[in-house]
Parts: sequence; C-alpha cells; structure tokens
Amino acid sequence: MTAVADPERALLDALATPAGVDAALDARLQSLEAWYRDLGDTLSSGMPDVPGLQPDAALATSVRALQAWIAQAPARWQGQWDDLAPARAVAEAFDAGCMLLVFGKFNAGKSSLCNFLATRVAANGGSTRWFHVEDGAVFDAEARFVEGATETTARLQGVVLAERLVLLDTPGLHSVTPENAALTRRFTDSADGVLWLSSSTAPGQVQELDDLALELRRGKPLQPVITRSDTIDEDEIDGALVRVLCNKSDANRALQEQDVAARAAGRLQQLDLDPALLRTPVSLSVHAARTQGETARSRADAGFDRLYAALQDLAGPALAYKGRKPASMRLHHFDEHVLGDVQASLLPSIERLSADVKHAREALPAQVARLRDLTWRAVVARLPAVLDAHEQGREVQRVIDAVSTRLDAAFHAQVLALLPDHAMPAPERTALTVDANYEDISIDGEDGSHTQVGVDQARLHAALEAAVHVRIETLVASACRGAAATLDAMTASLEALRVALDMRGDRLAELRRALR
Amino acid sequence: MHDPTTARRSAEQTILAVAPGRADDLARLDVLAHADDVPVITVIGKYNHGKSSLLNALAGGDVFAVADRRETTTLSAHEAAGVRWLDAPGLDADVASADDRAALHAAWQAADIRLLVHAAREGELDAAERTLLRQLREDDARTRRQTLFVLSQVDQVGDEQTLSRVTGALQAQAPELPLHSASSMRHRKGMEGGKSLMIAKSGIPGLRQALDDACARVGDARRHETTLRLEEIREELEQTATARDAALSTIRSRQSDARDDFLAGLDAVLANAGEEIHAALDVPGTEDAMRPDTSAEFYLMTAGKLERARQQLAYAKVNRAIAGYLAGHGVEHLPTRPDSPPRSINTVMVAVLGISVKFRDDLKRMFCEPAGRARLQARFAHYYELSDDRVALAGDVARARDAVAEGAQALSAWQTLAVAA
Repeated sequence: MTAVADPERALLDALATPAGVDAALDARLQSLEAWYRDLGDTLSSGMPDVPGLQPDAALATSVRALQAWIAQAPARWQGQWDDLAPARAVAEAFDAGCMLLVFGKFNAGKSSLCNFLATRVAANGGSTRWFHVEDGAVFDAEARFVEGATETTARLQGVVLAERLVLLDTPGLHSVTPENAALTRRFTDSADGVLWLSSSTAPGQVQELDDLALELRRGKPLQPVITRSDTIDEDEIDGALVRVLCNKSDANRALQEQDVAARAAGRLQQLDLDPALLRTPVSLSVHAARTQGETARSRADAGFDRLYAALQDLAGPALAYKGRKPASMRLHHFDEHVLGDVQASLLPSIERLSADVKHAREALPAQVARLRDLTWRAVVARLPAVLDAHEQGREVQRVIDAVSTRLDAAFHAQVLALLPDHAMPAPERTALTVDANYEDISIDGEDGSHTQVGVDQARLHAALEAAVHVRIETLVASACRGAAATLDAMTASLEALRVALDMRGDRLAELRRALR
Repeated sequence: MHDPTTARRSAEQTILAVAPGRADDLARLDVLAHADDVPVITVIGKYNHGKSSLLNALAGGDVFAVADRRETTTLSAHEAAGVRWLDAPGLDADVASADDRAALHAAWQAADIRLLVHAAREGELDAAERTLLRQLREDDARTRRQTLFVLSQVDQVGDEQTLSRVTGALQAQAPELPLHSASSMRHRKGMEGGKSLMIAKSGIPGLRQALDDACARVGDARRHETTLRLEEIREELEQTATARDAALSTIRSRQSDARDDFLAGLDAVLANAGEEIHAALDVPGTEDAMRPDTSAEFYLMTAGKLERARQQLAYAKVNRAIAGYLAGHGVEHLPTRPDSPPRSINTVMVAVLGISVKFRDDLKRMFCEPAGRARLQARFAHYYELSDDRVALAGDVARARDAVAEGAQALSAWQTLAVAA
C-alpha cells in the first residue's frame, strides 16, 4: 500500500500545512474596540431623565430600569469576557494546530471516537498528548478517555494528535447536569470546527440542531457523524444466545445519512443559518473497527476512510479560520454577549416602553377631555349656592374668590386623579375677572317712587360661568401641552436610541462580514 | 341540533368560551364518550427507538411499518387481541414538529395506556424524556391512566454489564416505575425459528402480561377519568359563574346607587325651588300678574308688573339652581368653546321646562305641588339616563349581564355532556 493511497497518512500530511496568518489582525481588533467604545457612548447618553413624570409612575419606573440596565451592562459584559479567559487560554495553548470540538449528546460515543483516532495516529508513528482543562490551565493527562454507556465525561478534556489535530471532548450537550452543559458552551468558541456526533439509534435529533445554532452562526464548518452505526445480530444455538456485531449495511447507512442531512438542512433553513456550513454526514462504528481485526479493511468497512476524508476537508477551512481567531473571539463576544444582550433585552425593553408611551399619548386627549368636564361639573354645580351666600352683602369679590378657589381645588384634584403619572408645575392661582354685579330690580312708579322687587343674579351668574369656562380651557390646554411634551420627548429619546443601536448593529455586521 | 355530534360540538364550544383552558379535557371526554370497550394502547418516545416493531411484537403481526430511521409520521391504529394498538410518530425528528403533535395527541387524548419507549443503547433519559416521564406520571396519578416504561432494543447493547449499568441508571431516574426490558427483534426471531430462549429473553411475554393486567383496569379508570374531568370542568364553570354574578351585582349597585344619589339631590333642589316659587307667589289676592295692563297703565307701576317681575326673578333663579345641579352630574354638557354661551345649549332644561312664559298657575303646578315636582323629577331622571356617563355605565352593565348569561349557558351545556357520559 502506497502512502498516497493510505487515507490515514493523507490526513496527517494535510494537517502538516502551517496555519494561516492574518496580516490585518491588529486593524481588525482596533475596529472592533472602536465599535465597542461607540456603543458605550450611544448607551451612556441614550436615555435621559424625564422630569415631567412622577417618580412612582410606571413610565418613570421603566425609564429608571432602562437607565440601570445601561449603567450595569458594561460590567456584566466585562465579566462575561473574563469568563471566556479559559477558552482563550485553550485556544492559545494549541496555537499551531487545528482544533475540532467533539460535540454531541452524552453517550453519543465521543470518547470512544477520540480514543480510537488516537490509537490510529500512534499506529502511524504520530504523537498523542492527552490533556484536560481546569481553571483555564491545560494539564497533561496520563490516560485515555473513559468510555461508558452512561454519562462519564465531567470535565473538558482533549487529545493532541501528531501535534497538529486537537480534539476537544466536552461534557454532554443534553447533559443530566446543567453545569456540564454550561461548561461545554464556555469552550466551544476555542474550536475551529465542529464534529457533531449522534448515535445511530436516533441520529440527528432536532433539539440538538438547535444547540448547534450558536456554533454555526459563528461560521464554523460542521461535520455530522453518525456513531454506533452497527448492530448486534443474535441467534439461539444449542440453547444459548450467540451474538455477532456487524456494521450496519451501506444501504442502511445511506438511508440514515440522507435522513440526517435532509432534516439538518431543513432545520438550518428554519434557524436562518448558512446551509453551506453543513457537510455530508458520515456513519461509522468504532466498535466494529476495533473488534473486526483492526485492519485497513475493517476500518474502511466501519466507515473510517470516509471520516478521514471528511476531516481532511474540514481542516482546510478550520486552519484558515485560525489566523483570525483573536479577532473572531472578540467579535463573538460582542455579537453574542454585547449586541446579543442589547437585542435580546434592551431593545425589547425600549420597544415595550415606546409602546407604553404611545398608548399613554393616545389616551391623553380623552383624559384631558375628562379633566375639563369633571372640573367644570365641580365648579358650575356650586355657583348658585355661592351666589346666594353673598347676595345679602352684594359681595361680588368674595363670590369671585370663592369660585376661583373652588376651581383651583377641583382642577388640582382632577389632575391627580386623571393624570397621576405627570409631574406638572402648579398653575398660577386663579383670579377670575368678572365684569358684572348683583342687580337690584326695582320698578319705578309714576310718582317717582321705586319699589324693590328683588336681586337678579342672572348677569353675574352668566359672567361667572363664562369666566370659569375660559379659565378651565386655559388650565386644561396648558396641562395637555405639558403632558404631551413629556410623552413626545420620551418617544423622541427612545426612537433616537433605537436608531443609534440599529446603526451599531449594522456596523458590527459589517465588521463580521469583513472577518469571514 | 338533533344530531348528537353537532349538539356535542356546540356544547363544547359554549363551555370553551367560558373555560378556554379546558380544551384538552373536552377532547379527551369526547374520546371517552365515543369509546367502545376496547382499551387503547399507544407508544411514545424518540424516533427510531423501535416503537413500531415493539407494537408489532405485542399485537402479533407485521401491522406497522418499520425502518432504521424516522418512519412513522402519522397515527395508525390496528385492533388485535382485544386491544386497539395505536402507532405514533417519534419525538424530536420532524423539523416542523407535526410528528410531535400527532404523537402527543395519541398519548394525551387517544390512549388509555401509554408505553414510554426508550432504546437501551441511548443510556440515560435526556432532559426532554425526563420531562415527558414526569408529565406522564402526573397524569397517571390524576386520571388513573397508565404508563409503562419500556427499555427497547436490549439486544443491541454489547454486554450484560453495560445493560445492567443502563437499567440501574434508568431505575434511578424513574424509581417509582417498573422497567420492562424488551427486544422485539429477539421475539421475532424466536417466533420465526421456534426458539424458546429468544422468546423468553425478548421480554415480550412479560410485557404482554403486564399490559393484560393494565387493560383489566381500564374500565374503572375510564369511569374515574370521565367523572374527574367533568367535575373539574363543572367546578371551574361554577366558580366563573359565581364571579360573574358578583361582578354584575357590583356594577348594578354602582348604577342604582348613583341614580339614587342623583334623585335625592334633585329632590332637594326641586324642594328648594318649590319654596322659592311659593315665596314669590305668596301674595294674597287675585292673580295680578294675569291681568294685562291697560294702555293707561302701560308706563305705570302696577301690582301686576310687580308680581310678574318677582315671579320672573324667582323662576330664573330656580332655573339656574336646577341647571347647575344637572351640569354637576354631567346631564348638561360644557360647550366646546367658551365663546358659545353655555345657557344656549341647556337643551335638557328646554326639553323639560319649555320656553313659554310661565304664569302663576303654571309655576304653582310645576313647583309647589307634589305631582308637578314628581313629573319634573321623572323628566330629568329620563335625561340623566341619556347622559354619556350613564350610557357608558349601562353598556358595562349589559356586558356584565351577557357574561352572566354566557356562564349559565356553559353550565347548561355541561349538563348535556354529563348526561351523555
């Protein structure tokens, strides 16, 4: 067998190509940092106080929540960047090679596959170095991975093959312990490509595709691997069960691979992800390769030649991605933690608050009309009694004072009841101007006598009504202008912030395109 | 409406309008109402975990299609050995989730007995399966339906040690549920080749026995489940009806209290008016105001002029008092612009009192006699009910009344279902 024909050698040769270098890396990093500064500026000036609102109004509470979110976000984002330090350390520790994340449900056969590949590299004279990661540091490990039918992998571990190919085996995705799943996510970014392993028992479950969406959005190539593509054939011979392990047939494998490819592509489309990242699925059986003679033939039958070819195809793009890794990791942080946070939490808050403000603005005319009506009712109903009270002494000024006081009190009470969210400056005290008086009605006799008939309040009453009406219109119009101005200013601030954030999002998308 | 199915649908819709959260209960009650005596058994679990071949082994025949991928995508039923076997699609395979919906319909609405199927090679239950298991167990406890936990494809596990590790882990995840290990492949080969060890080790005979026991309990369970769901619905409907009655009575008393207040206040205003008018009319002698002035008297002060002036003043004052009261209660509106004189739109005053000159007898009749005041009271009350606030309140009352009627209809629709059960 020649070296060219040997798929294992061919893979090792391909991996020997040095990783690409990105000459524009510094400029890319500077653009990203500039973007982050701009975002900080946008946010810090984004949501001004609203003095026209009562402090305990729902709208004011929402404004303060937005301001608090904006004030706290940078520290939170820095914390998340710091949390990624172990992932960056892993990436730096294996700078020279191509790193593949071995991704999959617990019990998908991740450890078995890594162990087997290590055995094969060693058989070809390549080095193998086992390690695990703890607190951001890489420790050499002595042993191979533990294999088992229930969950066994609790920590991030890996193996460096031939000093070039790093396989990072992670705690399970659908792990029974949530900490394991979280740990996996923290490290996914340090990988250059993803091997997605799922068992032939139920390969390519839709829920797993969802969990891979993050990696694909990061533009990493994805290789589906259907593991455990074998079956146990049993028979009863002479009163005993005889069991034989076989590879699944080519037809059976093709059926499963097509099924996984079709459903995976469908899901990617649904998730609005680039279907070009998805590679053709490969079926294999570590178990069959191991137990059926450990020959080139048994490996080929078990599906490994196809895996080697697939890995070789994967290594090219993965190594190209490598030179941009520091910028990519920063971009991913901005994308997922910063902009993702803004989009998932700040923008919806802005939308909600905008909708609340719009709602309040639409309700304002009806509230103002009610304010006008109820103030009017409270004052006008009292006019006859006030006029009667001061008729005896013809005390017009006291009538005016009483009605003015009544008007101010009624208006104040109705503002509190109908526009409780607004903090309005108290209007000047009402001083009605009324050019009318109580009128003494008398009838003149022929003899020049005057006979007193009574006192007529009609003109004074009408003049008071008119003055009250004018004053109420003035007060109400001023309250309406004030409330409308408060709400309109909020709408303008929120809209400006939203537009500015959209622009920051577009700018990051430009940087992302330039990086890929 | 004579068609029982139509009547049932209509009753269900009527109930759902009041208790929209009861759709699942009603769907299951519908299944129970139309069920014959045959127990329904279905499978639920991930795709490709061997559900269809398990049913084939249990039902005794190649009834359901089998392949090494997602195969079953719709529900299909087959009756054998006194059981209706219902094959359902696997979970988590279909991108559009239509499979999952069909499977959940089978498990939650169609079946009396559910087989939760999990392939032995997959090891522990994942998060989705554990959630499903918990929901099934909760439903078992509530409805007395039954869930059997089946570890399928045990022949595909490499060795006994691995298998016992898997069963141990699963029993730890579902400690209260017996685990039935099964291999439909062993059963098939055993049956075809007459191999008793394979049949025995297939676990199928044991599972059949367990299912027979479960089937024997289905009759009682269905009766319990029917009563339980009906009673829960009735309780919810009664609670809603009570709450709606209370809401209607609250808003009705608000409506009548406000009217009582308005009428009491108006009564006082009219009583005052009666006194004012009485005082103005309380001049002994003839009705001088009625006697027209002669031409000789035209420029002279006469007793008639004096009395007319006094009456006019009193009537105008009474008018202002009434108009003020009505305005205070929103019966008269504030004009839209201050430059339109308020008095000119006192339409209710005009409608009730008219614009004609009131003479002594008119005023006396209108304000000083109880019958006259009662007439005014009634006329103003009429316009009070036409004011914007009152009309809005009447609308609220009508809606509350409709809600009460809807609640009562739902309860009577419930009777239709209860009688049918």
